[in-house]
Amino acid sequence: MRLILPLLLACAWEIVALYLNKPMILPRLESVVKVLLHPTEKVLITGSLAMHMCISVVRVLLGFFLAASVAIPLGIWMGHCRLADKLFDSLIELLRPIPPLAWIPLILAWFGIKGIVDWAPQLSESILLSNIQYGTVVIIMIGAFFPVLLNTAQGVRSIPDEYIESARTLGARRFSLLYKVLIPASAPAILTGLRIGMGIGWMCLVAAEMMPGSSSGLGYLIWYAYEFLRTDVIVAGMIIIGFIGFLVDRGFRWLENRIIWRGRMS
Amino acid sequence: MLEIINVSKTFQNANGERIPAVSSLDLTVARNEFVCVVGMSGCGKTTTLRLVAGLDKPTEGRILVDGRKVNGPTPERCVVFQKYTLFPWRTVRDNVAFGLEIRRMNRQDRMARVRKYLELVGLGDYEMSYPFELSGGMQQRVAVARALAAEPKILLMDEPFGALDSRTREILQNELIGIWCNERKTILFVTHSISEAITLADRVVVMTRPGRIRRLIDIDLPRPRDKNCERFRKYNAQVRDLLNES
Repeated sequence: MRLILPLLLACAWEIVALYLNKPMILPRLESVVKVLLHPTEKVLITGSLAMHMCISVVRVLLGFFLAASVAIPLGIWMGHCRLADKLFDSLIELLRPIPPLAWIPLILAWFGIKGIVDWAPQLSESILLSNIQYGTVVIIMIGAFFPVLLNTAQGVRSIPDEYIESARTLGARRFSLLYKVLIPASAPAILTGLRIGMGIGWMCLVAAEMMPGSSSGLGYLIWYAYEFLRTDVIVAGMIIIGFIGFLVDRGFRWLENRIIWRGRMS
Repeated sequence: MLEIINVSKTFQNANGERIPAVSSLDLTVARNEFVCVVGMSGCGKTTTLRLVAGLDKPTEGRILVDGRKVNGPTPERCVVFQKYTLFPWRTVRDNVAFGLEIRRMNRQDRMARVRKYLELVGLGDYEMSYPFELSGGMQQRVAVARALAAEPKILLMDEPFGALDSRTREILQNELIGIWCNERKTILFVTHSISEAITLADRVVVMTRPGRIRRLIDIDLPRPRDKNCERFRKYNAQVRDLLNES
């Protein structure tokens, strides 16, 4: 049932592609499938699909973890302490509406095309790590940061006072309150924030990889394929980006259902 | 054992005005005494309990427990709230063990104590259940077990049965009396129900706005108390008149 519409779309696509017969505008399905079926072969002259994919995934994960490692503690602090909330709120509300992509010029000015290789030259042997530029990671970080922060803060803020007060009369202090009440109580909200943040980070990736200095990743591949009008590669790249995003989202949902407590706090 | 000495508490409202919640309150509760505070909403009874718990600080006056000044919440003054406050991510067993974990009691002693108090509230078979699987009455029993497991000097109860239906409420009242007789606890119990106060307490504190004690009434009736007997009804009328006067 769920597959009906995607299959219909594929059929319509193939029909239109056959009718147009212009692979530079709309590639045939088979040519896209051919690219997808040979992930380890060199695409154009830039390296394999699998390599681009791995580089993109590593970039997103890195940006995502950096964002989460700042956003979760800050969110918990803001949710729990009214003073911290007041202190950070206006700044965050000012920065949040700026699209992550609007940061690109400034970040290029700051970091240029520097990456971790400039910091640790011995890494240049590794294809994966030599392709991690600061700029790309920072863009992803900005994209992933706010959903994680806002969801975490809201999750902590919405813990009813009675729960925290009960815990305190049972002897919970700073750290025990944090680990035994605040974190588990807001875990569902934090996980939702992580899921949304991951999604947005992944969406920022393609744009970030179109920045000058980038020479790998799925976003780069798509852009690069455009210069050769290889729409089959473009569509294959798009499908992979979409599919990975889908898998990650599913993974988080699975996690939400698995490790998250049931019932609710009144 | 509990002394409330000339305690006042004022809150600031949105307009910056100071609103007295409790004014010049004096009350002494003896060891193992069961005291009920009764009054209409907004009379300061919950504030009084929160001050004793250490969740709020008095604006004036002192509160002493065994001669030591109350300064912040501790497990020696556990609170059972009206709202259900069991941690939904913990099993019944782990909820009761919460305070003991924080105290770093070893696992064996912890489990033994958890079992003891769960059996005391009649929920020995529900150790591995989660709160959402329990009825409201059962959740409040677990909350009582959780507070008792901390072995507090004073058990503070803020309308703990207020959200329950009347039949469940009566059952839990009887159970609480049973526990109090066996365990010999000091209990400060806040309620707006006159008959609940008279059913439970050795002494009823009648509070009226703005946070003053109207009268202390010793309830001289044997337990279990019959709500329909003459003297119960007399006490009931007496408290009701005191509340209506103000």
